[in-house]
Formats: sequence, structure tokens, C-alpha cells
Amino acid sequence: MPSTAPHNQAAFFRAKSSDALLDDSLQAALNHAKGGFIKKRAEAIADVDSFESYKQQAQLVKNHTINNLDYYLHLFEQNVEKNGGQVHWASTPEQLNNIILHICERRDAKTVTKGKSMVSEEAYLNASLEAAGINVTETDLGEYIIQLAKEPPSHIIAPAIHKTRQQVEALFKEAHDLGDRQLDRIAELVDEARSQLRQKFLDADVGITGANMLIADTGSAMIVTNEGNGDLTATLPKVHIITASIEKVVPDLESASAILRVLARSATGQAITSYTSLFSGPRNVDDLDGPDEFHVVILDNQRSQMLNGPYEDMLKCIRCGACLNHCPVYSTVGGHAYGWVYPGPMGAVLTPLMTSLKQSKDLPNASTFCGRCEEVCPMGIPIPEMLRQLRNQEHKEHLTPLISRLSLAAYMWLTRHHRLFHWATKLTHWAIRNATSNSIIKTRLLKHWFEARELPLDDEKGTFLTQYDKIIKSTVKGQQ
Amino acid sequence: MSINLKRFNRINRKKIFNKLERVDKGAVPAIPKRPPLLHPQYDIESLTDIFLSKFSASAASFQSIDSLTLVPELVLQYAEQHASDMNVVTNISEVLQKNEPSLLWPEPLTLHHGPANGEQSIGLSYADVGIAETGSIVLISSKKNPTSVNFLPDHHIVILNELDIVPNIEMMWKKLSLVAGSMPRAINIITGPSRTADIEQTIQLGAHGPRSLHILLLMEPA
Ligand code: SF4
Repeated sequence: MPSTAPHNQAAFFRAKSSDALLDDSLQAALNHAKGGFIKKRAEAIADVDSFESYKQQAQLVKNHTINNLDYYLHLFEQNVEKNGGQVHWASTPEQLNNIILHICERRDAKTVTKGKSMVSEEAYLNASLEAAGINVTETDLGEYIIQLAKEPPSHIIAPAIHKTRQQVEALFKEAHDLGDRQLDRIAELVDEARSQLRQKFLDADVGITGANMLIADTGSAMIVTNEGNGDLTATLPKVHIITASIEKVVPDLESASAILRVLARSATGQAITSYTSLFSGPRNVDDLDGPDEFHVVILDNQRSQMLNGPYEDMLKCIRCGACLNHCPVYSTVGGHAYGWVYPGPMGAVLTPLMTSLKQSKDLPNASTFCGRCEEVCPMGIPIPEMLRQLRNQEHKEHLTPLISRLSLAAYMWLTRHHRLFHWATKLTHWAIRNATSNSIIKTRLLKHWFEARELPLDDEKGTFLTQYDKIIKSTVKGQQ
Repeated sequence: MSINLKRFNRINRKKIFNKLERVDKGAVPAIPKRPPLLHPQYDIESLTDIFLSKFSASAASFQSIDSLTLVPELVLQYAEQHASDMNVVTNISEVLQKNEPSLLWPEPLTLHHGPANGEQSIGLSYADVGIAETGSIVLISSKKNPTSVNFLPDHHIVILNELDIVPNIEMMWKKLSLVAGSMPRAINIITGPSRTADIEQTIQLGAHGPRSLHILLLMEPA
């Protein structure tokens, strides 16, 4: 049974977001989460002298690396080999799956433990391993929960943020043999997962983790976690496979430090996570533990297409999740509505670019353009501007509904005919005023609309153009 | 399914690298030079204080000691208070004995050497570096510090010499002078016990790694 949805469902954003609004447990979970991340991030940032200067340093690193991606990826590859590991290249998600399957089959692997990896979500790696008869266990608690629920993650750093504790309890009761043990406290739930997963860690043939950064200068992968599951996955099995993507590379450890300083603060509001680990190859001769094979699989999946183009800045994303946490749309509909692995503002840019704009045409429109995403992004990525460009592209490629294109064309025509435009705005003003004062419209026809909104219009002042004309006239008079 | 991994790899690699060439590549030198970066600076005099203040935010505990001879007794005390059994996995007894050849481990502690295998409640390690900026300890995989000891036992006790505390993350890397080709397999920067907030954003200690982290801070007698 595949543990994630088999294909991209971004085309159903509208339907899924309507469903999300009516889903009481989802709304309860989202309400519970609302503000938690925001508050912690704000506190973490207030705690340092100048977060702005931390951001600047981190952006310097990323700008420089993106400008020299080929050089640093090449250097990384050379140094991994020097350390006794292997680098593999995958243009497409299918290729990533094939490479990993090949490595697993060569070692006759039956069981795999996995640390959190968004790159593997892009490839639906679990489904492909399971189809080959390999037993896969997600070990990050959030990922484990959604694996039991057979759902994709709904947040890039808190995959089960959409689940209430009651739902988690129900999932554990169904999957584990609990007898009459109760699991109504969060501590009991965490302990239950800890004891269930212990043996999986010890038994696994292959461990697969993601990487937050690839360090070119030392040929290492840096993994940032709080649970320690990534380290157990990287240490106990005979084979460690790292899944990463081309933009994860940074020049050296000094560069990585600059990014670390903004990563956890933006993500969970911690100065640093419990575990920041650097893995640089298979076990050395006098090591007492560690895998004897070390592989890094580097995925492109359309990223190289973003270089040199209007969406290049998106390659600087460090997957901190701050833009999700601060997005009014994300926090109302949750991550699943977005239909693919990357939700929220960053997902609204990435999904169209990595899959197809045609299939995800609603995502660039799922934004109020409030600009908070760009404001909180540690990499200063201009997400609203990119969404605007994608909307533009949709218009050009005729992906928007005919009616909205016609209306826009009509509006354009109207704005070019001053007198007519003046007259039309006056008419609209009159119509709206009537609607707001007319109780039948207000209490019957547009009842629901008016329940949630107001239309404050000033009778005296009239339309913008009327006011504008008045001011112009009076200044002209004043000058005379 | 069988693919020729090497060939597959060569083709993909070429495909990806072809696309990575910058259009404006002409302006970029063959070996790019990363711009210089600023690091947060800390007062060298007060490194221990900074370390302890940052460290307290991480839900770890500490005791200061002025001699390594105290370690066995303190491990016993900790085990009696917190652990479910008296099994300790450690590979640093030689290091401790070097300073104090007659060092004795009190009963009922049972010492295990080698990697941890999940049967020991306590792991005992000797930190290679401490970082003041974050209140972290750093453990480098080696015969003395197999990585499993840092993660499998329920409780992790780590000795840190005050003199090994560096101001910031960058100074830590510098101190380790790492070079590709002779890298330790794993370097763990550890800041507090294992935790998760994956259920209803409520922080819970002891997710998969240690439930508690206890530092024995070795301070040279003044
Ligand atoms: S776009 Fe910025 S804020 Fe959003 S996940 Fe990426 S780095 Fe974080």
C-alpha cells in the first residue's frame, strides 16, 4: 500500500480547500497550531542582536553558491569520493527511485528506516520501495503518524500538524497491539512511538535520510533534527543513503554555519535544534559503529531549469517553513489542499515549476498578496512577485477561464476611455450604495456575503475619480 | 530490475551539469571565491558563562566537577535517580584512567564497552568541543565515541572540559581542522535531549534519542 498519494492533486485546490474549511478536526488542529510557530520564531529573533545581519550572511552564501552551482556540486562529488562514499545523479524522481532500489537490491535489503526527506516525497519513494517488497518505516514522529494514516505530509517541517491528538491515538490503537493501555496524554503517545520504532531502527538493513545541506569542501551531508531519528537511521543500518537536491550544496562549513543560524530560528524558533549532524562517509577502520556504504543521491527534478530565469531565487529556499506558518491561506486550508508535497507560499511557486502550471493553475492565485511570506523568509525570496509572474504566465498561456480574460480585456478597454470609465464607476458606486442601504439585498439576496464583509462607502465624497476631479479643480482655482 | 548504475549515473550527471552552466559564466572565475562572512563575537573571558546560559535553554542539566575522579560516583548517583537499570555503555574509561589509574567503578554499575545496542540505560561520553554561542557539545565518531552511544541509551552523560569551549560554531569547525579524505564519519552537535513537537505542537522530551542530557563540566580549580 503506497503511503502517499500516487499523483499530483494540485488541480483540485478549489475543491480541496472548500472541504478543508468544513473539516472540523482539521480546523481544530489548524487553530491549535496557529500562532505557535509565529510566536516562537518572533521570540528567537528578538533574542539575538541582529537577525537581519544573520539573514544577510546566509543570503550571501546562497547567492554565491547558486551562481556557482556546477563548481560546488562537482567539488562535493569529488570530496564524497575521497571520503569513500558515492554520489549518484538523478534528473527525474523516477531515476532517484531506480538508483535507490538498485542499491537496496544489491544489498538484499528487506527493511528500510527513513528519516525525514522532502526529496523522497517528491519521488513517492516509499511507494516504489514497497512495490518492490521492501518494508519502509518512517521514523520522524510526524512522518510516522502520516504513514499510518496513509497521507502525504501537510507541512514541510511538521508533517502531521493537521492531526489532533485524538486522531493520533486512534491511529496508534489501530496499528499497534495496545491491549487496554490508554494513550490519551501526548507523553504516552510519544513513548508509544519510541518503543515501537526502537526495534525498527536496530533491525533495518538500509537507512535513508534527507539532508539540509551538502558541504562541498568536506564532502559531507548536514542533517538537522530534534528527535535523533535521523542519527539513528544514519548510524545503525549497514547502508546509509542520503537523498538531496542540487540546490542543497554550500561551499564549506563556515557557509553552513551562517545558514544554521537562520534555519532553526525561522523554522521552530530554536537557536539550534537538538541535533545538528555531519555525515561524511562510511565507517572508518577503527569506528565501532556506522554503515559500511555511504551514498548520496542528488535529484534535479526541474530545478536546473529555474537557474538563469525569473524563478532562480526559489533555489535559495532552505525549507524552513516560515512562509507556511505566516500565510493566512495556508493556516486556513492546511497543507493538503495544495495537492502536492510542497504547500503554502513556497509550494505555490514550486509546484507549478516542478510539475505543471496547467495542472496547478489555482496555486499562484491562492494568495492574498499580503507579503508576509517574503517578510519572514530568511532568504528574502520575493514569493509574491513570483506568484504574480506565474499569474501573468497563466494569462498568457490562456490557462485562466475565458470569462476572466474577457472581463480583463473589457476592463482594459474601459480604462482607456476616460469618459466612459468615469460614468461606469459612478454607476457602480450608485449600485453598491443601493445594495448596502437596500435591506432586501443585504438581508436576503447577498445575506452570506454581507455577514462576513462590509462595504463602507462615503455618500458625500463619491467615486475616486469624482474626488480626484474636485481636488484638481480646487488646486487649479487656487493657483489662479 | 537491473540498471547499469555507473552508465546511468554518467548520463544523468552530464544532463544535469549541462543545464547548470551559467549563461553569464564568462564573468565567473574558474575557482570561485566565497565572499567573507561575519560571525557573532563573544567575550573569550566569559565563554563558560555564555555556554551555561545558552545551555540552560535546551532542557539539559549540568554539574561542575574539578576532577575526573568524581565521574564514577556521579554517574552512579545519576543512574540511581533517573535510570531504569545500572548498565552504562562507555569507551572512555581509559581516558579517565589515564588521569587516575586507580579509578574504580562503584557497584552496582555495570560497564559495557563498544557501540550501544539499546540494552544500556546510560551512555557516557567525553565531548571534543563545547560551543558557547549555542550551549552545545560536539562529539566526533571514533573508537572513543561511537555514535550509537549518543543516541540509543535513555540518558546521556557527557564530560566537557571548560577549556574546550569555543565561542561560536565557526571556531568549532576551525578547531577540528577537517579535511576531505580524512573526515570522521559522524560529527554530532548536540544541544539538549531528544525532543519532538509533532503532536499538537507540544514539546515532549525523549522522542527517539536520549530522554535526558547531563553535562559534567570539568572546571580547572582556580
Ligand atoms: S521560501 Fe523562504 S520562508 Fe519559505 S520555506 Fe523557503 S526559505 Fe523558508
